[in-house]
Amino acid sequence: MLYYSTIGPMKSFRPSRSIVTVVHSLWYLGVKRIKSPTALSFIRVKLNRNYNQHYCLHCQPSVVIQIQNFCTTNWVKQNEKGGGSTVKSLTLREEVFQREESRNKKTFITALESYEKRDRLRRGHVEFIYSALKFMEEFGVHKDLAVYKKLLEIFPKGKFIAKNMFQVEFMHYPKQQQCGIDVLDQMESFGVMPDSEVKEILINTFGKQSHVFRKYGRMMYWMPKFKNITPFPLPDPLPKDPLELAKLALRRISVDLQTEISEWNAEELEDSLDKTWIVGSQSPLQRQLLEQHPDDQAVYIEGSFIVWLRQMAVSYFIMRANPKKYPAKEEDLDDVSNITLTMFDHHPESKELMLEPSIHEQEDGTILAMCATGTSSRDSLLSWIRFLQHTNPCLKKIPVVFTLKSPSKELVTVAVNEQESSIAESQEGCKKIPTRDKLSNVSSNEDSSSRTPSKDIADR
Amino acid sequence: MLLEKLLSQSFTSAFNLFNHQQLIKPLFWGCSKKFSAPLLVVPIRGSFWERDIKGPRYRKKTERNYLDDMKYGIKELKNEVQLWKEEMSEKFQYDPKVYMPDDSEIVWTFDTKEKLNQWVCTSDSDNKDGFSHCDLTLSKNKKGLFSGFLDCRVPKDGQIKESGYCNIRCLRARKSFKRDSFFDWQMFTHLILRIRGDGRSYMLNLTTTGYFDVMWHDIYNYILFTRGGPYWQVAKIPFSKFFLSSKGRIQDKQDPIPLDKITNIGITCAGKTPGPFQLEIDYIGVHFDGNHTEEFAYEMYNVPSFIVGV
Repeated sequence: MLYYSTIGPMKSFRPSRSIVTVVHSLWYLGVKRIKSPTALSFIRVKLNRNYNQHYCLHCQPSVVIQIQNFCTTNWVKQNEKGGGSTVKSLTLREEVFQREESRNKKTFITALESYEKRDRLRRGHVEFIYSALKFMEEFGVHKDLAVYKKLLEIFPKGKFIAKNMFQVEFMHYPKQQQCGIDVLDQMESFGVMPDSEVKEILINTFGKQSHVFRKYGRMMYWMPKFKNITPFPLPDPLPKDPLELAKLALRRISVDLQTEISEWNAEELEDSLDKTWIVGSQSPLQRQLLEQHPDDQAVYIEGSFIVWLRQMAVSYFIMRANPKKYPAKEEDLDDVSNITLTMFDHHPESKELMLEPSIHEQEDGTILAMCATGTSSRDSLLSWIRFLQHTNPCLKKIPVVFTLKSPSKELVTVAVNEQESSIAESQEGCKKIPTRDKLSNVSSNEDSSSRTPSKDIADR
Repeated sequence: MLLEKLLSQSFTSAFNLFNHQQLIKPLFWGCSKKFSAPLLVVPIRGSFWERDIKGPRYRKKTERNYLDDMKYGIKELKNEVQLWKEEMSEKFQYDPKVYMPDDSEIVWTFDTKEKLNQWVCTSDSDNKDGFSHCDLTLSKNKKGLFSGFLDCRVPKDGQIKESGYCNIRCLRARKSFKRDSFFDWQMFTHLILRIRGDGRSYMLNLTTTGYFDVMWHDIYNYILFTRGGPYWQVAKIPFSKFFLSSKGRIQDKQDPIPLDKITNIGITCAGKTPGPFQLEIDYIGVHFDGNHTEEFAYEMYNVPSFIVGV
């Protein structure tokens, strides 16, 4: 609904329900004070009448449409210098951002500055900040603390500071405070930790007793506590090179500390079709396990599975052997019915000694090696096996079975940075999954979308 | 304490009260003489009182077939009496379990379909709040597989700000005759899970639903980090690290988790990483570490009154 999109994240607005909500939403926006264009006169007339009559009415479609029109057009006076005369033109707040051609930090700040320059009195700054918040991800500045500071600087200083306890308790300038809270909330959800400069800005804008500042206090209590608790740390920001990402992923999922990550290029092989990079991981222990593997039993290449490094998904493949079956010998230590007497030269039966299973011997298979390739294609995996044969000569004898149900051609790392998709989500939209479509677009492969990685694990 | 909680819940949750201002206002106006007509034609969602634990939109079915109810009741009676008999015999035997340091107890396994039925799988698409979907299934090597697709698109209904969650939650602990009960883990210090994830981090939820509506949504949370890859991992998380939240907001006034009042346990997949996810679970259990003396991991500052929890 257009109404929503301009106003920003105020979840309780429900214009189509009843006139009460509508009237109050408008009251809330301070409609009475706005000199609206002619399209809105209808609403104004209604507002100026007795409220009582409208409460019992149900909203008529025409009314709703008009209100939507109103709300999409938060008019801003814009001075355009043309021919020496100042032309008052009306512009959408969002247009400030929409008309920027390239989307980056610089243009975003330019848009903010153009607003500051244009409107010295900071009229409609709440609406402007809400629309700025909406565009931050698109401009790629949603994790940039400096930009958030710039955004908070738009609030005028001093005016919103409560002067007595009643003002504090009744949330002095609620709309502005709520807007400030929403800025902080967006920072929180993107994991941007504020600093003492943000504190200064908030104190100068809303005061120390304000609800915005309390939100800041909460963030500064909790966010440092959770910042570094992950036991699997990753560099921040993540490298953009898929090769580096694959190395990071393999290093992370290899439990064995002796694991060696090796990097090959398929161009070195004459027979390879896909000239791409291959990153493999294998530890000395795995090499030993592969050596002990009987020649008549196959090893399986399985995949692709996904491992997530924050927002990035890296697909990897494993080489797996069937799980070793250890004899389950249970001995009842309390059983004293059959004790042999060694003094009469009756030596006890030698108990079967067994090495403790290594970490690679998982219950559903022994993991012998792992890899990630630039194309994730079957041919690149074949090249991987050829490279592995240099370090594992026994692989020349052992049959290798590819169990990839769909030969995926190009499944490189996928950055799933879902942008806000089209409006009008219906029941049909519920079933559609755009991200998966996107994923298959990247992989340029017909079959990969039909095969979800969850099934892979399940089949294992 | 109740009042404090009440205030903190209704105010701190993103200042919902003020978000709902346009809905609350008619309530106050209705009290004045000038507008004495019945003004309340919209449901007031920002009020303190909560209609149902399942949320404001939930309505109980009014049409009931008493004959069917009775049939169902008689069918259930057999099992419930059996359960009650076991409870009684346990009571008279009085042979409680004794745990030594480093003892563990596995509470949930996921190796049969019946055991998976004890878990409820929900996602935002169930309530038309989003487009994610998830499933808890039995994997080939007899483990629970919590998988699905996380979708962060927000439905354009003008109300929802953020979207995208998938969740599993066990059924509430109960006694015979469908009486509510609690898990009593006071003897234990850690929660242990044997899992195989996909590198995402998940949220562990220990629900401690209380009697009053302000305590209905008390959930203690902590993060479950997964390594990803083909190797199983055992996560051992101290109960002292769980922090209190309600309706998705961390509460200002924290308390150590009441380990004898846990009603449900759940795992959530959410966040700003849309895409497929999977978490294979072998077991969920509790562990007693004799050396763990920490009661609550978060320091409690003395703060000026009327600031915290408001």
